[in-house]
Amino acid sequence: MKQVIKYIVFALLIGLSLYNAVYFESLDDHKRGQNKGVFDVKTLAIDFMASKTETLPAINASEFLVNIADDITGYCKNNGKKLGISDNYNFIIEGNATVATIEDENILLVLNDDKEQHIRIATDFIFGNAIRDASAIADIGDFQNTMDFNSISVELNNIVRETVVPLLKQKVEEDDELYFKGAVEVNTKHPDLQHLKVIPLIIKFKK
Amino acid sequence: MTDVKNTLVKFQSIIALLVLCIVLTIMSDKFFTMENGWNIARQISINVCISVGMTLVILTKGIDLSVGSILAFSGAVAAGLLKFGLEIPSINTYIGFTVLGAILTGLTVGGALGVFNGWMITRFKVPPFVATLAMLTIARGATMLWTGGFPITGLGENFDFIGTGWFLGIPMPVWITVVLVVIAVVVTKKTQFGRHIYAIGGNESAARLSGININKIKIWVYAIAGILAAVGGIILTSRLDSAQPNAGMSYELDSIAAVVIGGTSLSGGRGSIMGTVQGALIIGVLNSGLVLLNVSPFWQQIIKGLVILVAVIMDRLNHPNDD
Repeated sequence: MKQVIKYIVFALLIGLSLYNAVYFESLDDHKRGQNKGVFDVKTLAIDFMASKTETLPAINASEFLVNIADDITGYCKNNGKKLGISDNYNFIIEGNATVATIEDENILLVLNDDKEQHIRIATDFIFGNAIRDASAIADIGDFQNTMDFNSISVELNNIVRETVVPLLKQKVEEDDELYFKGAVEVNTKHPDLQHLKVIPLIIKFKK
Repeated sequence: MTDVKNTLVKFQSIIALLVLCIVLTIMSDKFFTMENGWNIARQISINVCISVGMTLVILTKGIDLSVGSILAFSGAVAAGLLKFGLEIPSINTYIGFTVLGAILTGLTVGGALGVFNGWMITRFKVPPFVATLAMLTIARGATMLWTGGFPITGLGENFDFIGTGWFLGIPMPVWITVVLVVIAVVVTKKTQFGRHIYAIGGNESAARLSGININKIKIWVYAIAGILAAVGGIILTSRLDSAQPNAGMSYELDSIAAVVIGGTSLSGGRGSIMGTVQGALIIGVLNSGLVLLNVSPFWQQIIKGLVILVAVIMDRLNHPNDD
């Protein structure tokens, strides 16, 4: 009798666990529901670059450089965006500046503020996840794997490389005044504030 | 004099741990802090989980080289089922898994692979080293197949709580480890099953003649080792919010090191769970201390290797009559 009760209790526990462990639905319904949340990465990136960059909230570049030099860790924690346990913080910044030097891989700008701070616009190596992470264009939780999530950065960087940078390189001359908005990445463990590079999203010449 | 020597031998792991802590406290002001204490506790929790199972295996005079790969596969299975569920197109059905379901399946997979190890060892008399070495590569390959070689990420807050959450001011991995250690201590010290494990490791022929079902006990021991590796896998996956295809690489070596440093004899039949916990603590404290002291990772490996060697030599000197 004791043995029977033991088996019944055991079976009940297994049944209860299984009841709370799995759920069933029609595969068609599941796929329909899943497709609602699936992103077309290319469309997402094109749409973002075409219509979202203008309204994207940005930090004033002068304030950004002053504050980050003052307390890099605190400022990054309070104002930056980062993914997971990384030490890389990302920001969207904007400002008015004058072109100081046209370098091989960057354009050195002097900000039009009373401190005349310098910052670079990247024109050659457009890599990394700065735009994706700074703009919070997508949530990693919505993606099935990191490859899909990383492909957003690839698409965004491609658009910058193929549209924004060529126009900038074609027009830019030293002493030009311009407005820029872009994404910048700062590593709190190994900061290199003298060589921060902005991945450009918007460049407007004031001619 | 003999009493003093016996006492020193009995408490050699604790003495080594205390000496290590004192030396590191003197050498680094960051070592003896609450934050570092919790860091060490969280870091060793996975190794303790695996090492408890490894202790049982080694007590039976066996070895399990597959725990790192089982850890990776179980974690990946749990993460994959939680994230993607199971699709069965032939009957147009999707089976979704809750956090509980994913964890239970991960543990079942770990247990099943452990049973397979035990079955190979007992049924076909494959030496434990070879059987578990084969499982090491099988489980790693299965992990690569299951994940496609890519991490499975974004597992949700509820799942992540297991590895990153706190309960009553103590990290969840530490709670899980403490519960497992208590159960393992009770099982080894207070149950017939525990006594049979020691008996098999001490003298397998004598154990068989005294009526112990050796094969059954061994299969259970390898199954428990597999389940505990799966627990480690779930904690690791949850802590990283990601199932990595190469997770758990060389964890089996850290685990064997913890067991050996903790005083368990590789000849079987002698050792304890608490000794293994102390061994894992020594490795954890040593790792943390060497990092805080900015010792090069290459030197860290050499130092850890030397510590293991010293532990084994001391064990041999203290028990010269072991096989």
